[in-house]
Amino acid sequence: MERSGGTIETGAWRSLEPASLLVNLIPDLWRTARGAWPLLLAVFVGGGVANVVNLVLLAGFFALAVGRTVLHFLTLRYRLHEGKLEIQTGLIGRRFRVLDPARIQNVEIVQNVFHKLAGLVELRIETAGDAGAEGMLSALSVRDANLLRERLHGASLGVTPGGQSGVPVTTVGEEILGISLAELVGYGVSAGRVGAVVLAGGVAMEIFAQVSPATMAQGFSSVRPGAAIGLGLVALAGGYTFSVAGTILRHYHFRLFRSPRGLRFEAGLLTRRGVEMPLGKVQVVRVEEPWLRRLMGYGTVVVETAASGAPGEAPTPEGLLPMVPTEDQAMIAGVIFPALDVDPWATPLLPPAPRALVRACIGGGLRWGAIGTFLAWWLGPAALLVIVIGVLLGWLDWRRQGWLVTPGFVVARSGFLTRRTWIVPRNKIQSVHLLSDPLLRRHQLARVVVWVAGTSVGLPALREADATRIFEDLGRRRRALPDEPVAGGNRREDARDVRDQPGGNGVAGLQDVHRAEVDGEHVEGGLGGALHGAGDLRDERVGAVGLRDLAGEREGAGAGEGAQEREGEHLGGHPDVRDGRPDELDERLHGAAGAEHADGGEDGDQVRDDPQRR
Amino acid sequence: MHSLDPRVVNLWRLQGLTRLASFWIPVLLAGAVWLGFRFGVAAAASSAGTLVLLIGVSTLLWPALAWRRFRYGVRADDLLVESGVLFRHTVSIPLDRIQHVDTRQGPMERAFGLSRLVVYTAAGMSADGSIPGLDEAQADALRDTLVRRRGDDGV
Repeated sequence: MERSGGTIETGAWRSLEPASLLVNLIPDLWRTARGAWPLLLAVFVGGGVANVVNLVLLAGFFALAVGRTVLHFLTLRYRLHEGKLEIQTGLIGRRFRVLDPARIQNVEIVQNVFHKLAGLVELRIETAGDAGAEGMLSALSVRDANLLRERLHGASLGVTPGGQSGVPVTTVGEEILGISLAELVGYGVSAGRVGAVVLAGGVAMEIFAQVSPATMAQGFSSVRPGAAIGLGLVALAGGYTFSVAGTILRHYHFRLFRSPRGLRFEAGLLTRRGVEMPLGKVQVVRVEEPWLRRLMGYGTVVVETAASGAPGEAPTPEGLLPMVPTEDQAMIAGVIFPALDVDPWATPLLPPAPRALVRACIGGGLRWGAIGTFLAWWLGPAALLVIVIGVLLGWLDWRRQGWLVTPGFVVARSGFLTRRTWIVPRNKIQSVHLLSDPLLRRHQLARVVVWVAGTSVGLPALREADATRIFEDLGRRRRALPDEPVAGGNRREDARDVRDQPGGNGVAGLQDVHRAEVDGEHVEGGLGGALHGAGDLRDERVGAVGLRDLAGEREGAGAGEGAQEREGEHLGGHPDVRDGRPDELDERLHGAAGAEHADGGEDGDQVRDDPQRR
Repeated sequence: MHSLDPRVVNLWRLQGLTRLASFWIPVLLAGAVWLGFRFGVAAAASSAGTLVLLIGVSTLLWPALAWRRFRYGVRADDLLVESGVLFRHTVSIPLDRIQHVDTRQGPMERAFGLSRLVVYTAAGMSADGSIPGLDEAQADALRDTLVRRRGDDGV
């Protein structure tokens, strides 16, 4: 199978550009070096390059890397066949991969320094599988890469490629965000790596002290304290500058475009990366605002697709918008989700349950108390202050928490130092979880966690009745909203239309969410209203007004009176609250039973029996 | 909503005992002997008592409670699974989001004639829903019902 003269359009098998041999050599050397580092370490520790054995080893190592590169070039073949991209590679262990355009999460074109010199690019295609790039073609000519991208994207959008000439139409689209160098410096500065640098310095000192205490002591006695501190500051500044510089290299000249095919990101100084992401593939938009960045008036927007890697792993940076001005965040969210029916920055979110405050404070106290015990030997009793700080932070964090469930989206927010806001389209939800533990149950609370492909988003702790209602609602009705972009101004109107559509009883409470937003006077409901709102659990239409009023109660708690006291008092005054709860649950489950029955389920009776077990 | 096959309670008892046998039973028995020689009968009794308590909870109490708490049901739009004694967990998996469904049997499960159903979605985390202790035939039937649904998988 030689390098055939056929073009991509004819569907013939093609190989990589010959120049990619040179381009890939250095990355391959690096990869091999990483894999064989014990060998290299042995070589350098055991006598260096002078030794003949070592020389042979090094030559072998080099040959291995070169062989790998050559083999990769010689065996890799790709073609477009029936609209799908097929890639085969390998000599002994062969791999044949077919990529279906409909499954492509994003297409990335990368050009590092070597690529640039050779006039080539690398094409990476990610699907929802494992985090690694699924189809990686390094390197292609710019023309071929663009053509492939066009063809694959066209297919993924359901557009059959026309029979025109193969010249790719580079649709740049409308630029909706650009990040200046000054802003990038701000991003690097607020990236919160100071802590990491300090920690690294501390650890280095500690190791040094362990290894040679004498030198350390001598060093400290001979160096004046001022000089030592100065030296430390210089080291800190050095590390800091380094990390800021790295950030700038990675995100230099960041541009975000909107095109008919979706979003397009471009960034990078030495390695320029361009990512195209179909809008329909976005699973979650997360906005992170570390305190320093927030003070600057910016936040970071992370656009996650199913390709963003397994939960717990660092997200791949494909969808990272490093510095987005606070006032533009809603606009960006609106571009990504054309059907977005809420502006989480303009709309007050609903607060967590008041009783969750106790839990938040205890949690904060415990977390920081753990740090406090480490500091106790150094600070003495003053370490108790750390616990106070922890409780305070828990309270502040609780104040920051918020949530909102609209007909089309789920919004959650948390975090005091770093504020995080998640926006999840309901039609992407994979599963909904309702969680409780003994402590939560003691306070009649529960948590709702929503899973989408690749990540999960948890709402703050809510009252059991509310959590159950949300859980049922999210599990039952995922409204498919139109994916067509709505002209800028009337997005809010659109949301209202959706709201006015005949919904089931399940959405009734949620419509009230909007009412809270619209009818400002209800927010001023005051404390009397708050208590009533909390007591009205039986009411199907509890929803936003009551919850909104609880915000007033929360403020009251902040003003000095314990929220718990008030809650207790109010529970005493309304003994029916406790009884009300199971009833509502029964209602829910009966509702469910009805649904199954209607579907011809064979066990309606059993379902009906079910609520009694509680 | 259905309960699990009652046979699963005995399966869980056996599994609990096996888990204990792999660590706590030898450790606590050795502890009892050592404490007995070192500090006397009372100390030995405390270790033995802990062991009895552990066995009692994990064989008599816990499986029965867990069985009572466990419910599952296929509803119009979703699969609902409730579980957990202390840490309660209710999961709702929309039927059109189910990617694939496994039925699994370990040696013990096979001895009891039971089967475990594991449901996967595109959420990535290993399994979203798992229903242990179904009757073999029932598990196969449920698996076939669940995989037959087609729709937008949201990825």
